[in-house]
Amino acid sequence: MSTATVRIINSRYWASGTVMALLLMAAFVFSLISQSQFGLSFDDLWLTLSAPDPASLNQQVILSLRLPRSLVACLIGVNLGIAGALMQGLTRNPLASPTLFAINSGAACLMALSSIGLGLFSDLPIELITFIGAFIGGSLVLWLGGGLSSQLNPLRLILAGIAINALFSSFTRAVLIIADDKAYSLLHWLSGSLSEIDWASWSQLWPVSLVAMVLALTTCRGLNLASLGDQSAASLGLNVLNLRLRVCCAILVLTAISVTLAGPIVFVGLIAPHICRRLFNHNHFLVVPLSGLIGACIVSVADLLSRFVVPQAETPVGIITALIGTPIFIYLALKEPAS
Amino acid sequence: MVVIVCKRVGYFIALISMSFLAAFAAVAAEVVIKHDGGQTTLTTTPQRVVVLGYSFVDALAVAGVSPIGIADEGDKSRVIARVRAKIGDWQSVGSRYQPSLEAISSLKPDLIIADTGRHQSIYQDLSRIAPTLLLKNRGVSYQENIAVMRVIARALNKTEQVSARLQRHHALIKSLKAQIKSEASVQFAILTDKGMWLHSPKSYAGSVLKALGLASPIAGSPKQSYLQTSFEQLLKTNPDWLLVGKYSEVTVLDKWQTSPLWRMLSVAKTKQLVTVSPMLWSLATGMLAAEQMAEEITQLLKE
Repeated sequence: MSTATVRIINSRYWASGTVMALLLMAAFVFSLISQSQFGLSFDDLWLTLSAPDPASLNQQVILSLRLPRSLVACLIGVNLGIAGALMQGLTRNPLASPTLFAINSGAACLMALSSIGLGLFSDLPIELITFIGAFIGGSLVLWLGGGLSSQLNPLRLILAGIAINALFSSFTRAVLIIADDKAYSLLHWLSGSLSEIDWASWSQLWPVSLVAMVLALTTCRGLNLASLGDQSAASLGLNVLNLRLRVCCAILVLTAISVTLAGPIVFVGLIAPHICRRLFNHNHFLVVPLSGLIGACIVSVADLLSRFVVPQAETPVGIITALIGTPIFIYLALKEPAS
Repeated sequence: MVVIVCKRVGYFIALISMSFLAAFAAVAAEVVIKHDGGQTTLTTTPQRVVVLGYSFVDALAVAGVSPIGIADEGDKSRVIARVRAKIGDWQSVGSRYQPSLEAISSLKPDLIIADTGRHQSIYQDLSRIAPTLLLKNRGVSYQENIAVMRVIARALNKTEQVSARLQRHHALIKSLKAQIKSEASVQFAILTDKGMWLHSPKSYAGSVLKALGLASPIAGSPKQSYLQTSFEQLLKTNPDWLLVGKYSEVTVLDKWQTSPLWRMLSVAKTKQLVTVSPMLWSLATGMLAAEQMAEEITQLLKE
């Protein structure tokens, strides 16, 4: 490759990255003030930064309600994007997403069971229950799918994921039928919602996410090697089992904390790595972090748009990500170079 | 001879006319009810009624008929005390969402009253068990329910009794409305650990409050009955009185109360935040329930 080509490629990457970052910042800023019945404007935002006034209702709304929600939306997007990239790298399957590990459905199932006050579940705080559910789901899939055996069969993992997903979904559905009056609130949670996010959620989210993200970044080199196939990678000196353990841990933690706070938000983990690979290249050192950036864009934009759907009520953000995600996914699938 | 023939003709004429009268009487006893599922003809007055919705239990209680089966999710306490006092014991036939057809048919009913919103898909199956009326229950408003009550009264041949009771009901509501005379905005909401749902004037609770002349704090006229509301939206709605029905021990309200923005709500300052029974305010949706709700809110506003 000549130096001229390398420079072009690099500047194209910078352009794409900058556009994504700008989109994210725009979505972030607009979500701080949009569609508020208090009539928040850029002036309020500017005043909050330059002349903070604790007595001003508008500023307090921005600081206490809007800011944590926007921050959490970004960070959850990053989590899901990175988890999706790791998932697709692990299974070497571009259709893999964090949903595959039955993390969302495990969390939903335990959340549903605790809603109807089933035994010991009702005593623990709801976040803990959801987190445990997420882990149970993920662990079951890994165990059934032979995730930690010496030879990873991606097909077996995917099949295990489908089976466990079906199991948990049926439990959740049964609960929805039994507890009809509570079903409405549960259905809302099942679509993924950021409406109840506050500073407490942020303080739960960022430490866990940070640790998991660092773990994810350590796996980049390994994932690059693993894309050659397990045996080739092992012959190049990669400890395949160790890599898989770290990747699975990272995926589990990233997705579990996201689903605990916001409910299952779909499509982000599936599309973000695809967009990333189309805009950049397949090098995991780029794909993993940049999928995070793209995931943050998607969730922030979706959260912003969700405010506009029904003016005086909350629309679950998961509905918007599915609405955005489906056409993008179809477009990507159609444009995929036949290789 | 002529006398005998005359007598026989006489008997014959009498027999013919009596059978005509009997047939006429039988036809007259037939009632044709128009409902959301079409038209149902009831040849006799139903005695064994199975109902698949709480507002129907209320309607039956007002008509003085005791249902033999109710879709009460297996929990008899879901029927409010006032209604339970007027009816006898009943068998549970499962949940409203999915009533047990076996349980219903084992009771051998002669009338089933089902919910248009929930039981459209099993209407055919229910009709095979007994004549079935499909009436609005889910999402019904106060005025719509009065109309439903009249339909049920006709089916049970208790029109006069129910009409008289409804007149007393309207008089009660009118007198309570006169007692209230408040400009304050009143809002009822359901709280769970996942969120708060405001019941707009299209919902049952909302329409009862509206019938009492109470203002709704929700801007505009929302088309939906239940509006999921975030803390920010509640701050804007800012009702003078907030009645909450809690479906779980810990709710989002506990979280919101720790926020520094909580004190901006007028109910935080005036302490006009009242916990009410969600069974009564959200689930019951009947005339007797409306009376109890009206009495409760009148009591609160008079203090």
